[in-house]
Amino acid sequence: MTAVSLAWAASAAGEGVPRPEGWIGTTEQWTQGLGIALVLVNLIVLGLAWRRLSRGEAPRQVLGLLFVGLLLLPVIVIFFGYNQGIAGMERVQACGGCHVMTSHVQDLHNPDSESLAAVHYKNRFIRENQCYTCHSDYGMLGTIQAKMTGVGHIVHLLRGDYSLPLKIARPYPNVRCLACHAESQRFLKSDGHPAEMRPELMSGQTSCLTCHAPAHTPKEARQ
Amino acid sequence: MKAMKTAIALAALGLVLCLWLLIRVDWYNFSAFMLVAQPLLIIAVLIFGGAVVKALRRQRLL
Repeated sequence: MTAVSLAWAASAAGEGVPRPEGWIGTTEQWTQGLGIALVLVNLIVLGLAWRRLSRGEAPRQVLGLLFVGLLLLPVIVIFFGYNQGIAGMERVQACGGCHVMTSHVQDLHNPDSESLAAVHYKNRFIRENQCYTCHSDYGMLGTIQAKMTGVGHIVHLLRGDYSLPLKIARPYPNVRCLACHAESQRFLKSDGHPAEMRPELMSGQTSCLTCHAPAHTPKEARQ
Repeated sequence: MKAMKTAIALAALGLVLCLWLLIRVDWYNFSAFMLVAQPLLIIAVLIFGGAVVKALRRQRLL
């Protein structure tokens, strides 16, 4: 329970607004807490094995402890690590962690910004993981592709082969906008989306950003 | 004996990096988890597996 409380405190530290998580916490907090508890148990198991080996016991006599401490528990810990790490990398703070993205994240938080991303962020049209939600395709392959693109971004950052202001590598696909908006009444009744134009929007022939740009207004782009 | 202690030390180091990730996620510790912690844990398992195979061969069970 201590580990779960620790995880709870760690995840709550960055949040200004209480979340509707109830007395038992969220799955993410429990996963984090269990992961921390398992790492501690694993370290204790390894410590016990080390102690017994130091006392002169043959490795054969501590085989069980070594099996649990070196193979069984680490496999579970890695699973929890990926669970926690991949979820964490989807947060806005993770995207803003690279200094080149700082101005994009500042734009999201700027109450005066009228960029498309800022409007979505400020009004909580997307409740969480706003960068990831708009910049990944839907489904399992979309998630994998987004992660691979993220690795590519790290390589560009390390090599320094990028220029500011950052520009999107490929045209932004309408399907990411339409996944949420296409069937909403506001979209269907809008004068800007007449019925005869919708096939063009659905096929991507006309980009949503033709009318709804700019998507971001980082300070480099405003200068 | 020495090999087992090396395996334990490597695994412990890998686990500390996992603990860092589990407490707080950012790019640094996620990269450390993927690029350092996992290889350390894998090397520890390989050392352990190698020692077990060696012991079994010595006893002519393998």
